[in-house]
Amino acid sequence: MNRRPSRAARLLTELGVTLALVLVLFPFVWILATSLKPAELVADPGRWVFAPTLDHWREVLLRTEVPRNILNSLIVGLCTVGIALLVGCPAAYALSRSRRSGPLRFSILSAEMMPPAILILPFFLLFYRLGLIDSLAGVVVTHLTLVVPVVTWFLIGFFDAVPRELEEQARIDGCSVFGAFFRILLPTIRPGLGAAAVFGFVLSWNDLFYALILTGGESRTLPVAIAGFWTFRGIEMGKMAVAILLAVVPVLTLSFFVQKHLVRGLGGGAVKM
Amino acid sequence: MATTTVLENLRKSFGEEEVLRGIDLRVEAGSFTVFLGPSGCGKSTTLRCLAGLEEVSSGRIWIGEREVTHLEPRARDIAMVFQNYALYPNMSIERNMGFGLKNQRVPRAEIRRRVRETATLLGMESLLHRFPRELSGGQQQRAAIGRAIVRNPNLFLFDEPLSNLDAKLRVDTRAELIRLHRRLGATSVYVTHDQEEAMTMADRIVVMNEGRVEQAGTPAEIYFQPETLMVASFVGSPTMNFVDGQWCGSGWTTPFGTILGPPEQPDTGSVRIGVRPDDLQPWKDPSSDTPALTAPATVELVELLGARGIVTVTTAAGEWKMVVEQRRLAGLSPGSEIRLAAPADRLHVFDPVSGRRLLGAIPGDG
Repeated sequence: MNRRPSRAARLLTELGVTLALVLVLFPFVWILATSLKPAELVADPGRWVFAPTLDHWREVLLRTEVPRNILNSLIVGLCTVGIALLVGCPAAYALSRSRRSGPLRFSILSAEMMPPAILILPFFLLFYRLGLIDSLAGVVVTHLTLVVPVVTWFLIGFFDAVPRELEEQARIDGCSVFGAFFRILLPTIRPGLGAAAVFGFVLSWNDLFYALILTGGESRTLPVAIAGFWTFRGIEMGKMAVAILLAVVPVLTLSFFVQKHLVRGLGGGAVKM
Repeated sequence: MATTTVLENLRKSFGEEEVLRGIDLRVEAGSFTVFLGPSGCGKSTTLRCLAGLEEVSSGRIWIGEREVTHLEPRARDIAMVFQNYALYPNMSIERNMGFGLKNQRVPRAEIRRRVRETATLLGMESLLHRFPRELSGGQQQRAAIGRAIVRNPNLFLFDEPLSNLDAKLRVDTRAELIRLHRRLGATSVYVTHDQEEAMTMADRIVVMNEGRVEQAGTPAEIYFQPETLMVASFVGSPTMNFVDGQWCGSGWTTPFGTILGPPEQPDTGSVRIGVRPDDLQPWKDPSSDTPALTAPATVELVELLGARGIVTVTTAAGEWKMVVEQRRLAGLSPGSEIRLAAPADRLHVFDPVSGRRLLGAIPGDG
């Protein structure tokens, strides 16, 4: 029987949710406060009363490489996602439609389970030979190892939800197999494509490990730049706070628009719909 | 344009499993042919082979003058209506209906005109601008049918198109499909497991079983002159009653006595005799001529359906059912002992080993 939860239970739930929200959001509030603190108060984390200033923001946006780093991250993220969708879409389609893809579905995630530390050495040597060290192209390639499996996994569930008859109808209506895929199937799973793209982009955008080792100078990405505020003279807390916020806000905004599909996609091909 | 379709020794295997074991069939131009059979009998696979959605393992298919065996679905000039309608969710109904024509590079104005015309025919002009998710199941079904009609194809294929509709809508749509078929005169092949649909809609029924055609004929032939035991037991509701017998010179010895055979009947050996529940009656007047089949029975259950009732009885051959008019149900209460009777011309005699018909049951008028 499905009883309405009692008043106490609801109160308890709300309390739990509030607690979780505070735990998750407090660091952001703190970072925001830090970014607005005058330089001399930055080292005093407990200080909540101060005259806010935009000094750090001005400094970061006008006198550091951060805008350049943001552009780099953007380029890497977009290229990675573009290629990942190009590769992941047909892969997910094939896995979804294959009659015996059961264990194969999960194996697609195995690349994800490998620690990046194992991959970075061969990548480094390879890129060194190819002259791709300190280039965005190299970073894109490494990010593909993170993003392609996830995007593929993500899309399997969306393809599963499209009945086979839809493509068959398209083929009867005059489409080739590819025509049916591009003109009927892809438009049908558009929300899934969007969500997969956002999720893949976030993975690439947030990666520090590969970018830290493979880039430097001109080609540094935003996470590398953020880490760069930790200098031998100490942590430049104010600037770092600004950079962190610049990194988080776009991701948060993007996720907000696709949150519904994100949840569905994470279930991937695990739950047959 | 109506076209004859011919299947020649069609075979199809999925791996080791042979699902079609040599289908030979001619679908006459302009006919409404229904593939009927239990699930897994190969009827849908046959349809899908016709559509080109499954590659055949061997055999040939002609649609009209053209052999289409290895052609892509789009090259066959067919239209199909699926059980789940398969409307493109990202297109309005108008674009759904026009999609096939657009692919044939029909001019836009012409597409528009034909889509409107078809929508009017189906009484769904007001739905054209809507999206599939905004329509009810019945409306989606109409849209799917409209999308098939607007193409004006050589051959219509229907894969259990009514099974997702509720009972009343199913009956209405059935009638409408038949009206449409009469009006358009296009050759149609329709797959169903519902024998009522098959009986009411078909010009010709093809009963399939285990990848083979058991019998192809008019609904009346299928019902009154089933060629095999499978057809006899699959078609008809309630199902046919059976009793095993052995030829004894003048008839067949059965667990409940002798069933009289036709005069001058040569030895048939052992047989399985079937009689439809509609052809059985309680025998109340022992002074009249003795019917071919008489059997003592005990009434188990009486189900009144309105004008008629289904009476379940126990006989020496097991549980039988008979359909009795309501006014003759008097005296048939659970536990009562009665005699059943059926005339000679309503008995179906089969070879129990091969399942083939040996003799009996004249094509009747019911």
